Amino acid sequence: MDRDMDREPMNCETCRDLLGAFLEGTLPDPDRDRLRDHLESCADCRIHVQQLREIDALLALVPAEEKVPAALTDKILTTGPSPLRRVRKPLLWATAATVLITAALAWILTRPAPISPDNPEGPEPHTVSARLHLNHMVGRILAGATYRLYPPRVGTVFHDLTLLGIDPALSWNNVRIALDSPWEEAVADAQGRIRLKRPLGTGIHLVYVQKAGHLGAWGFLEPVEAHTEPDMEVVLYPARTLKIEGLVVEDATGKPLAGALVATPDGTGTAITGKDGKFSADFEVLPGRLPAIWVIAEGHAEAGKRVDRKALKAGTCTLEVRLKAARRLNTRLCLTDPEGAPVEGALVLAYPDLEDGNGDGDRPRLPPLRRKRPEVGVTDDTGSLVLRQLLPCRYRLEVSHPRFSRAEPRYVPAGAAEAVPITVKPAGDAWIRLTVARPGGSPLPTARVVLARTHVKDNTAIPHRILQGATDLEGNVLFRRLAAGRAVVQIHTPEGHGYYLSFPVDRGDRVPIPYTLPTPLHTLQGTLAPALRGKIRMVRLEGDLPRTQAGRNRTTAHTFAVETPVLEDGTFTFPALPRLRKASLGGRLTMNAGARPVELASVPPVADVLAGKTAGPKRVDVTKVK
Amino acid sequence: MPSPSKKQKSGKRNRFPGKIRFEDIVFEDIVREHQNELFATALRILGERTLAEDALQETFMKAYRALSGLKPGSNPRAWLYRILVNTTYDQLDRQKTRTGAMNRLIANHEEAQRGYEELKEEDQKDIRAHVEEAIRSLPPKYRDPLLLRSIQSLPYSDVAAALNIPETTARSLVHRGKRLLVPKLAHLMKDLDG
Repeated sequence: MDRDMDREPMNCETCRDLLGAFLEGTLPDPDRDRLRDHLESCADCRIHVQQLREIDALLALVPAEEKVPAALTDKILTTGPSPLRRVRKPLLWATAATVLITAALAWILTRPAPISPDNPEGPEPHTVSARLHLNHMVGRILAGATYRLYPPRVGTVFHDLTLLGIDPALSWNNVRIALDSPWEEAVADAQGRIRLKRPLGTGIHLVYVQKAGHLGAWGFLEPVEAHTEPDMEVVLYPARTLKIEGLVVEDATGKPLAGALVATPDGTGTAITGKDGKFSADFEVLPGRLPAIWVIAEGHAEAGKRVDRKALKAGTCTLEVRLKAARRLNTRLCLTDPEGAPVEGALVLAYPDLEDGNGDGDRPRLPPLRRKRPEVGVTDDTGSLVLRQLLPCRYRLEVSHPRFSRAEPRYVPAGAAEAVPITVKPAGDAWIRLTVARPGGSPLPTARVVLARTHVKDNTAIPHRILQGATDLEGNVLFRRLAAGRAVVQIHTPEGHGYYLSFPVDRGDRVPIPYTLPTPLHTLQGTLAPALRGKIRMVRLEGDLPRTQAGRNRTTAHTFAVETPVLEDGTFTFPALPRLRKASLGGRLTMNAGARPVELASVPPVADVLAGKTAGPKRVDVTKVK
Repeated sequence: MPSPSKKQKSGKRNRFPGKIRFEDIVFEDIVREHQNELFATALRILGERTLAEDALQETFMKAYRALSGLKPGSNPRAWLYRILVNTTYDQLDRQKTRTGAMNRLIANHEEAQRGYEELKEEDQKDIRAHVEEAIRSLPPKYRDPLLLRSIQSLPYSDVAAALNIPETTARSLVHRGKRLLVPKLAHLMKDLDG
């Protein structure tokens, strides 16, 4: 702002530069008055002000927030650089782009096994595909890493492991598995893949992955679907070694504590104190991060201690930790199915419920990290699991198991005197096995098949209701463990044609459903009216297919859709279209999938053109946007 | 494509010095509080849900790893926006190399997800789509300050911090961005008058 101009009348250019501040009410007084004077005299600038106000009004229509899909939030929260990686779930469409980007890699690693007619379940998976990344961004595969696979029959509790990716600490119990339980060890090949000697059982398996020079990491592994190999993604970060030694004593008496667990917050390095309360071990730590240790002993409150910078530089450090005695609250859970049989290998997350708890006013001051972190555990072969060292509040349980439905949240008290019985409902046992064939009857391999949803009758929430698969060389694709109801299946051919079918899914009905793609009849060429050229970039055609398909007339909805880009001269072509009822054209203003589609009108109406039974090329002129 | 991300890296002053303890920040809170607005911004810049989802995920991953660099008591919002804007630039660079076929595949996914029901649209949303499109067509230099200020309502100080530009520059870029929108949205303004 030019001071010399204070007393001069304002010109249009200066006025327009200052309008922004003026409209926001931040223009200082002398300038504001001069600008008002100018506006009174200048009609052009008044129009300009009006325009800017209207722009503001238009901008106000754009929402400041867009709802993030819940699946994405989960992914963000679970794919932080946490040592705890969850097994990859059947993919949601929302994450499809990420999938495509990694598709090349994933395809090599997780080629689906063919489903043979006499073994519709597919072969038992012996190979565990795991991608080891140096970090998320680089995504380099680490060969030669060692895996330890823990079968689910161990009654394990992971105390304080977090799904948020921040400083989890492992409990006493965890050491017990590491020391006592049998595990299977395997070394990753050049593709980061490991081969197991035994087939995976049902339920959640725990995997610990380590490689020299890297921070070890835990993962969960679950046989997801019989026709795909189980898949897990674990990220190992480069780490350095720090020697930590020290002493653990009881705070009140000063007596040394034997048998206390000393662990890094990542839970990847552990040591146990001897009779003199002393410990000494090499810990892997992430460079650039100040490491800390957690000390946990039964009957005592846990305590943390941070390593200072000097010690980190020196590569060795001595710490003294004092533990206070604390009340021990354990709760035993007993999971059974409706018939009373124990449920083995169920993953249980128990979240402290402080808002609604039974704290009775003496709500404890908790370390912030423990407020939201769940206790994580897996039930043993008697279906039981002991949650240890709980906070004095009630806990909300989330139970997941491949064969059982995710139950509605349930609450258990901390320190229950007797085992708390939990009954879980079985997931659906219905199947859909689809056999897709080309019009001539030859099988259609590598078509992408998406099972969109099933309407669950009893309204029980079952995870992974959106499943994705691909047809094998025989054109088969199998979806299992569905609840009875309706399933919407989409078949996307390599040519980009989409067929949308809806089936009833019956419990126990395992008859394969043959589906032959309808015979192509038309080729449709279209021309956009000059006014629409350069505006409509993509054209979409959709319509209903004649109801003669899909075995035993089981389908009800049966539709078709395809999209094609508009060329520079305003023309577009849809090759190999079947006969369609109620066909309609839609268009998008950009190539972006995010752009809103508009309905297009054509001469002659596309519905009439494609309903005909005569084969051959057809033409339409798109006249306007409806 | 200008490369502000490079510029920002080379001229990087640590605006958020000091360390905090992990305990002071609960990452999940940050994600849940800011994800929707960051997602909206990524969507306006990138135009595709799938790309925006990728950008959002990458943003939070970077944020997580840089968490210890965030000054205690400081507002993480500007900081997050800064990471997001840089991420979208990376994403746009990467996107250039992507083939048309890939785009179509993604488009198919998207379309399937949305279903047919939404084909029928209301006028309001139509106008909105035009406005979003117009914003996206602005040069990034104007688009980003405009998005942060006029759509996300960040204070100018945060806009400046997020984009690593002086506050006065932020003000004038927002204003000029609006002026550039006038010819692009002239047809809608008549609608408003009517």
